[in-house]
Amino acid sequence: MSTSDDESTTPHVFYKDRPEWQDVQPIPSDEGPSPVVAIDYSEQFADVYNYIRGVINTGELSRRVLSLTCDAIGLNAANYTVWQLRRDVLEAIGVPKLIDESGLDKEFEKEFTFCEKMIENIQKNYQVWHHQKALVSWAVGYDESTKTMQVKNPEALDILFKRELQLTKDILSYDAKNYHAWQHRQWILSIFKDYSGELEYVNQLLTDDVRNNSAWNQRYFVFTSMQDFSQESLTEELNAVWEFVKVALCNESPWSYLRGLIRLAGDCRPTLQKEVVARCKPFVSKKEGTSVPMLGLYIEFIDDLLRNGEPDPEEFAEVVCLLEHMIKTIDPIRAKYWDYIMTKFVNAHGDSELDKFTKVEINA
Amino acid sequence: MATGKSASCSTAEESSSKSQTRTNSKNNEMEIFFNRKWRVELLKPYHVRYCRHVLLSRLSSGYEEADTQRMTLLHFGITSMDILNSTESALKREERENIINWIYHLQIKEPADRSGFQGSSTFMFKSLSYVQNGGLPPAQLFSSHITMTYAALVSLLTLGDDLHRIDRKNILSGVAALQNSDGSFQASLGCSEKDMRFVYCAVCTCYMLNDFSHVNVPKLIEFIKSSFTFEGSFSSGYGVEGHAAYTFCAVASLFLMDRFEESFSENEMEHLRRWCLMRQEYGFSGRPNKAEDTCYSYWVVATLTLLDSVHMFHHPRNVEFLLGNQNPICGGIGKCDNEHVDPLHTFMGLAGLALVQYEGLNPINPMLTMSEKAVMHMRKLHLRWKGQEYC
Ligand SMILES: [Zn+2]
Repeated sequence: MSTSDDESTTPHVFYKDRPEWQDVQPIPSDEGPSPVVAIDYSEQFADVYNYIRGVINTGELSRRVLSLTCDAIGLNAANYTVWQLRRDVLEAIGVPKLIDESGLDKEFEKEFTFCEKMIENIQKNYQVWHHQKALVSWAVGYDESTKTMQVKNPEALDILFKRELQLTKDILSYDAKNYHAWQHRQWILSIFKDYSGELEYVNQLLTDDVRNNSAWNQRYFVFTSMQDFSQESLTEELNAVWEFVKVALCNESPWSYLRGLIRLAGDCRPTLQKEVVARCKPFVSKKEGTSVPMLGLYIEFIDDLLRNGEPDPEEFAEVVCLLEHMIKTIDPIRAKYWDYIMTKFVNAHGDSELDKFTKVEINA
Repeated sequence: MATGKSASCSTAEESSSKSQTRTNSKNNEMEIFFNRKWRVELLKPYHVRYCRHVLLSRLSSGYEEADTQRMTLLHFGITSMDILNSTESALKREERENIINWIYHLQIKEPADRSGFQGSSTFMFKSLSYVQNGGLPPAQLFSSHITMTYAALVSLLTLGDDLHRIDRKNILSGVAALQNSDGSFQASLGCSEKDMRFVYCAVCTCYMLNDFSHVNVPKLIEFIKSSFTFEGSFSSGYGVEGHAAYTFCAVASLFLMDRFEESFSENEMEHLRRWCLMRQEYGFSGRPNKAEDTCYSYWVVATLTLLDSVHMFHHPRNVEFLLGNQNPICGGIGKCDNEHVDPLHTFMGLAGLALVQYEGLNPINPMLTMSEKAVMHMRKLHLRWKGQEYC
């Protein structure tokens, strides 16, 4: 088996035929009198799990159990109990040790390698990532409740920090939207409290694929971690993001990002909203204006501005016209939604705008 | 036609037989009609047969990876049959009893903090010497799992069981033991993974047992709120990307606790509504710029139903997408066209169709993900429990 420790040899021998396991009583699964959703377990699966049950029953936590869990995980990596048993063994035989500037203890290093290989093999399994998280927590002495680490040595921490960033980067190079990998990466960034290189990585991913919504989410994660929501900082970010917006106007992700970004703004919110509306105008009037997420944001911002600021009859008329266009031609599959938005919009601004609106119509 | 056994056949086999029948059909008019039926109508008898297969035949060893989640396979199978109105017609009384007995076989009744259900008999240590010696394996190796407790209770209610064999109070203590200090829930004392899925299962369990007093509701709501994303969706936890399944889990949980409206502003609700609606192409995707998949026709549409917006998306496109993912040979529904079928996507596809009132399907409850019929049965039990001491 590809996942086995080096101690398990190539041709598979059933545990029941191994002399060194004769002292363990194998225990068959207790299916009860009427098994349903039954699985036709392979002979090997039954054999390995009979011995897993056997050692759980006796409470044995030893090196041979460690290698047994390896086989059991290889047969079903989603078995969280086997992973837990493995962690119990690791602790019992003293494998987890705090990291120092020379790196991980040799045996602990082997466990990291084992888990990383498993992650590489089955990238979308909850348990492998959970195990990796447990290993990292042990290595730095992380306490979830106080959110503190026992290891303080920056050199030692840096070794692990880089290793975990590299691991997630490797996995994201197969699938840049792997939810587990992103979740792990965010956890690493937040416990090591170092976001300094992340924006560069996000930019690289967005350059590769501007539609990578996970990368946009990461961008927001990084931006908000800096806690600077001043007008300068938000404008700078708006400028940076606009380069990506222009690449694909129909791409929902950056428009959502802009909405989120501007919601972080305090008093300068209307200014930023006006800025976005102004930047959209040339696209809206041209035929590129068929981007549903862009028009959605455009309408929403004008709605907000009309609610908070001075009424503008031209913009009111423009939005009504756009919404009609959305319903009939641009986004008919969501016609009923845009109809609902239209009703809300007219109800909110119609009364005050109606007179001016009519005047505009007449003048036009 | 393939036999029931072929429901577990490999992807390659199934997709090749599907395309083969398409080419052959040119030669035979009867066959043309027959083989295209799955594009335009729901192949109910095929799905009933597929579900029977999942529940009662021996699944191939390919299912070993789902070994710890057999209870959820059961939930998918039995609830699918219920949506198809066939639990009584397609399952003999004795078979239904066997299913109920198997579920109870996986119940851990004590100690209280471990109470609930396990997902399979793989680690059911009831009859082991450990137990006979008066001890149990440590909690991290022998304990209930919240998703399995949820799936077991839904399945029992769906089968019309009156839950008299469960220990309500202990199960509720078991749920409470899984709540973390941030309000979220971990899966099991033996599995400290935590995310929105387990929050949903915990909330459903409390709801089905009609008692929220054991868990910290304000903390729970705080956790859900902290998982609301800038996009207008919910994620597995703070900072992570929004996802349709977690969005459903979050929204349904708030509705079950009757705390949705007070938790969100009008504005936030609009963001959520728009995010959900934007997921539609034909079927629905789970995240922006990701492919559509059968299961999201449940997660997203159920959320939209709760938001009173089920009329705002394009139903015919969604139905067309779902029907196209049926397997016309061995029944079942896959995650997309030509993808092998599995119990989860079969259930989600049927549940998605039930949400848009597809003809001849029993209605599904979009908060609990079980049939309205089973919910009615549950409400009767709640009345019976009223004023009664915990047994
Ligand atoms: Zn799916």
